[in-house]
Amino acid sequence: MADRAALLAGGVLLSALACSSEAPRDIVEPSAAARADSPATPPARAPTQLPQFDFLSTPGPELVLTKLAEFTPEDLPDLSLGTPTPHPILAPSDIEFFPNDSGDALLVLSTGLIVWLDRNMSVVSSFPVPSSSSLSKLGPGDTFRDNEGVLGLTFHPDFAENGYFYLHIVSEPRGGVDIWRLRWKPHLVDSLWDSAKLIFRNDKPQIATNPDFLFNHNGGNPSFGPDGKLYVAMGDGAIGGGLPWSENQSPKLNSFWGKLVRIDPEGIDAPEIVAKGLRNPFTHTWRGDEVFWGDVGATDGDHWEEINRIVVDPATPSTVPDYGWPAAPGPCWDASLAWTGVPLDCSQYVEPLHGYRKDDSTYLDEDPETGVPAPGTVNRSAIILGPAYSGGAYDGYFDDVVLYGDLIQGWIRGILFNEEGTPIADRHVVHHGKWITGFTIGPDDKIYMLGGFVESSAIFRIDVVEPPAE
Amino acid sequence: MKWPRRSALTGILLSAGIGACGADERFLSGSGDGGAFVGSSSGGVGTDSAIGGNGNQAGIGQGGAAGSAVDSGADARTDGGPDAATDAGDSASPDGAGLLGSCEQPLTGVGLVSGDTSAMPNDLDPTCASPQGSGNEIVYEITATENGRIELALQSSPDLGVSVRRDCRDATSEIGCADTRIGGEVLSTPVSSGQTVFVVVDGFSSTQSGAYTLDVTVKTAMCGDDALDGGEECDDGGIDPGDGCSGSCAVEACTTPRVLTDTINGDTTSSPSVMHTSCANSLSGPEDVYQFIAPTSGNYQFIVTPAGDTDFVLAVRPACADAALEECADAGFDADPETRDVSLTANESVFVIVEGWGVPDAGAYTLQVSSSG
Repeated sequence: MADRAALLAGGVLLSALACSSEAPRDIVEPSAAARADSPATPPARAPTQLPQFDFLSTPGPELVLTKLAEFTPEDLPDLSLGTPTPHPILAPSDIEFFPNDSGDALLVLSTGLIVWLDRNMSVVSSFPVPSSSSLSKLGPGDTFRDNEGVLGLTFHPDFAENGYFYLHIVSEPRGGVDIWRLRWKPHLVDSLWDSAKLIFRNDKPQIATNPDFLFNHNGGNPSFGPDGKLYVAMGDGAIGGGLPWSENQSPKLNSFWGKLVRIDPEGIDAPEIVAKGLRNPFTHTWRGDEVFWGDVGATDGDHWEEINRIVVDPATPSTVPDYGWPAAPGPCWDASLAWTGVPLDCSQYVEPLHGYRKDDSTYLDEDPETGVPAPGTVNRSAIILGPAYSGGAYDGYFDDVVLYGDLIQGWIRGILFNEEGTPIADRHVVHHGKWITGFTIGPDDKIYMLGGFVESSAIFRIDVVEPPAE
Repeated sequence: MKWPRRSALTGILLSAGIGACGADERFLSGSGDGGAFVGSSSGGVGTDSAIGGNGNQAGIGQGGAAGSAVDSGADARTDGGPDAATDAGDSASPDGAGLLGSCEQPLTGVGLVSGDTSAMPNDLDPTCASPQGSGNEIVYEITATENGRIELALQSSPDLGVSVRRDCRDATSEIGCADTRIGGEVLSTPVSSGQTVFVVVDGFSSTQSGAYTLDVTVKTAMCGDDALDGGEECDDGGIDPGDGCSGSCAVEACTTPRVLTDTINGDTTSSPSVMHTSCANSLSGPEDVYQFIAPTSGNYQFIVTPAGDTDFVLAVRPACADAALEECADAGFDADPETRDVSLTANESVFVIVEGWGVPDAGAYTLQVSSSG
């Protein structure tokens, strides 16, 4: 088990979210002349992070991650083949509370199991996502790999009236993304899939010199916008791995890969592309009519994790903003990453609001429970975006703060954007360690974190440490 | 279960005794100073225990004076099972039978009351408590003197819930249950004049017990206030007739139901949504109502088959506007037929309701009844 876990952790997860395995090695690095010709003017300083701030101006309350529950494969057996079978992989991808104040939640394992939890995080029941190939076969050597399977869940804003919830699924190895709508009936949990309706399918062109690359970059964690539409963030699908960058579909408007897509939740109206040039936006969140997403960067080392933003116009967009992938990964001015070999006109790309380079250890340095890593040892990361907080559980401390963590580096931070989306503060919040998979808000307005990867899945809550009673 | 004779009762006594502010005076009747509800003799908390009572004090039981209720409850304590029938969901061998605050010795109270479930028995399992079982509970008995509704607001540090049932030891008689984790609980249930109900304050799970306050207010029925009161068949927030719910809050379709004899095609797209069957979503879709009179004694099978992908439920009930005794079928999802078998005697009348499971569920269907022997 341990060997398998280590193998997965080192070989699969990192390749999936922070992956570089599909990165072609025959890329022509931009010449010095091309860099010099780039209209993007690098700053006088060459920071490896976007602007740093003092973060929130006042010291916040002491915060702690309270572990509420932890599950092992024995607790959550694989049901996808009809017979409960303990499986060594849990691979949690999402947790969402029912929008009804019950405190119940659905925990999503990318292996294909949806677990119904009560308010005490005890298992009430579970149901599998059926698959002809069995999503339990997740991992190297098996059929599926991570970044495939069930990658997110969201409830319809009118859930109280219609009982609908949605799943973001890659149901076949190296396959495309399907968005399914299901109806929640607690007394019919065992047959919930009978209610499933496919509302969106994004097939994956099987173009790559090595088709095995195609397991990757499938996005996840769908959500509803204030316009009542379902927003699906789609990665580039790792399509064209090993092929020229011109095969990458993120910039192309004839493909939904590498896009933020707006979908009719009934599956009737045609989907609309809201943003393009995305790489692997596994998580996103809303603040009013703004949607922020975390875009996981490419090759380990000198690439970037990004936080991007768009103000969503309910009207069909006349132009689709380009967030740069693959031509301008990270901030466009970072000419060292302009690996297309073509001089970049950065005016055509929307720069990330915020981000950090994978080989920058600053956020680890600021995590008091991690300590300062040895120079040159930090080169892997994968951003996990949390909620834009608007609840009342932290005495205003997190008002309008967007939480984010790093799957691999294990810290949780908060970033405060002004109304224009400019970051004005960014600071360490709390430490977790590997693996941070996702965040959500509970009916108590508390921030919940999903952790774990291979051998366990754990649910935490960010709590304020109460002073000892006198 | 051992019962701490005094410590727990102190809490209970206070709980039932604190004031009755907020009760609707029109709803008040009963002995003495008047009470919104007539308490049971066994559970009556003495008037002396009422704090801040006034001339319109509600929640005063008919029973004994101060202290007598305490002694009565304690003396009545037994560890044996009650005579009352138990049912699935509740303990088959109640520990608390006969204790003050149990089904046999329920408290009475209205207004703001407080209590503590810590030392109480754990016999009842409200439907909205943890599937693994609820915690200790305290029971109040309330008898309405007018048509109206009971509004309950529970506040507690431990995770407690509140529910209402017609028969204290019959979980299937539950008519309302609220147990969320945040901000306390709020519950409103209709009650008819003369109807006795039991209010259960219960821990969400076996580890949840402790102090609480419960604000019990009563409202006299008022048609058109968008809240279902006792004596009302529906209340759509208005009093205009012709919209499915009459100006007197009667279901119009029940006045002139369509007659079902064998097979009929229908469509709920333009039907009203003023009823609620027991197996539909809490917010359900529009419904059609039919009356069927059995030509002979025997078993009959009712089947509704959607013409499209609508998710219907099917209910068969003896009284058109009363879901209490209905048989309800919801075994599938969109486009799935729903079936219910019932046994009827010759000339027995039942009402068949075809309802959308959720608000958006409306469409065409075929309803069929056949004798199944």
